Amino acid sequence: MTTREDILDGLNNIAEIPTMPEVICKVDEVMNSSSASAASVADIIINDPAITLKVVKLANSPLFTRGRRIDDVRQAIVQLGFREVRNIVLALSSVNMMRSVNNIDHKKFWQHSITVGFAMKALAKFYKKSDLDEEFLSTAFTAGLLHDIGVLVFDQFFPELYQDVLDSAVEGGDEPLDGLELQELGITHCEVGGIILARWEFGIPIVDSVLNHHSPESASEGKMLAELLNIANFICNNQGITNGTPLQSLGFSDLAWEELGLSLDDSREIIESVRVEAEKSQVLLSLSGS
Amino acid sequence: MAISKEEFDLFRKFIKEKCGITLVEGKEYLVENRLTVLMIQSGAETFTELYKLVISDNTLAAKVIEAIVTNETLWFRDNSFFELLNGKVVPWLVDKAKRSKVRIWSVASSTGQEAYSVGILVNEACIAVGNPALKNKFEVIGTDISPSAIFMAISGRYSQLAMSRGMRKEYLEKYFKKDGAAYELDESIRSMVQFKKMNLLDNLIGLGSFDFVMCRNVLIYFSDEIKRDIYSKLHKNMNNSAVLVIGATESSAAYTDDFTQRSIGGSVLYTPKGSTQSVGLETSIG
Repeated sequence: MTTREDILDGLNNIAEIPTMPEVICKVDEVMNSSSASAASVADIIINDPAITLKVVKLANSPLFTRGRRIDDVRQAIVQLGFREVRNIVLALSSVNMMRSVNNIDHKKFWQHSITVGFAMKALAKFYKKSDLDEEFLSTAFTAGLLHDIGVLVFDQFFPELYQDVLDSAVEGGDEPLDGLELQELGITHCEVGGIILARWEFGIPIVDSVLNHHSPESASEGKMLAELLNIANFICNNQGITNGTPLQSLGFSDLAWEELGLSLDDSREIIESVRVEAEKSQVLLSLSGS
Repeated sequence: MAISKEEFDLFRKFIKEKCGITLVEGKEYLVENRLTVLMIQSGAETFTELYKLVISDNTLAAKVIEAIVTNETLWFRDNSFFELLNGKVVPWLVDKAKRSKVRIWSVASSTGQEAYSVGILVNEACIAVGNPALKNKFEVIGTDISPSAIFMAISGRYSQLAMSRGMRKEYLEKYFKKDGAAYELDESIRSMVQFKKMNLLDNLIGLGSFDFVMCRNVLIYFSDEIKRDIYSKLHKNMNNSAVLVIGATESSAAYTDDFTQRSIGGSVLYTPKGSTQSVGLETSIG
């Protein structure tokens, strides 16, 4: 059996791979229904007192809102919007998944992932065709937040094999991570991430975009998401907000940049936006206890 | 897996047809290194199989081109060249800046090292003549075809590995700030340089006229016909008194007679025919 087959077989048989947090499944279900309201979303969140407290704290953080003081989740939803609160709940829940890491810096990993999630939304401001709806932006956040989940799965469930990849990365210079994974394991964190997200029943665009975030040209239904991910991921890496592995992609896809209609004249402003998003993710992460 | 001579020739012909770039013999390692991951990703087991996929798949073809045409770029990479810049060209440009604006063009600027290197040398020279504000008379432009390379250049951030490729310790300490694993170039130099997306095959007139043009080891990848076209464009984008520098192993002679070749201290510079300028170029061999 090849290493790739071993890993695929392992993924099918590992019982401990977590399921999607229940609170997110319920929030998404309500938000996708026609009767979604601040009250109905708040009713779900308040069943989790720890998350509730964190959402209210975040809503009062100056990075998230400059409005009046917020005392409960319902006010937070009114102030920040359904989708932003949903994104915050998803991020707070995700950070607690797969905590027993081996070779990866857990805090760095989530700082990167949450920032990429926020950066996906921030980049939308710079599209030539910025007619994207709130639902797409929420999907974009999810894809950003979970795009490297395959790295965490490798690290948690195949730590020795992954250590070999990381060791070769340190020695190998500026080889991209997915290239080393492919050479050492026959499978990349992108593919493993796609498998896990499909198992968690995320929509095809999210799965497709995570699968192809280092090769957005190969994406189909999630092409725009994959293009965004490729660029958001690179900018975060470029700004030093990396996922805790030693090597990152060396550039973004030129085709993705052109197809999204982004302008190089906006580069400095884009970088500044991503830095602000990194501060937001830092605040969020500090509340999660990481 | 090693690439065979026949396989190398297949990709060489493909790259020539698609972008007019000629890969010379001896570049097999480059093709092999850069296409191995694409080969595995595409499910091909040999480079011949990858080639068969590439000719019927435009997306894969674009990836192959992007992988092969990417250049490595270095700081002050050619010491004799930068000695020439430091000793002759930059002092001449700084003197010129006392009277008028000075425009410098880094052609195919990639991730910005050459353009920023010149920015640092100009800044140092302005300080040396006791007039630091003179640097504001300079406009350094870097152009490249790749948005990704330009974005990286604009960010002004470089990895340890990138810094190890030719950055001098004195300039590293003076002009870069360590931020995590990266080195970030000081705003005083970043603000001197602008980067623009530009395809050398397009009309370049909009860029305006330059006093100094660096087009080093760029045209070696292009066919003779395209070389002729680009030299003609470079000439049109140069002031009558401007200077062009190309790679140490390159010569423009076979492609243009618009320039006079001048030799100085082992380096070769080119000036437009009939130029009256002087960079202290002792010997004219044109």
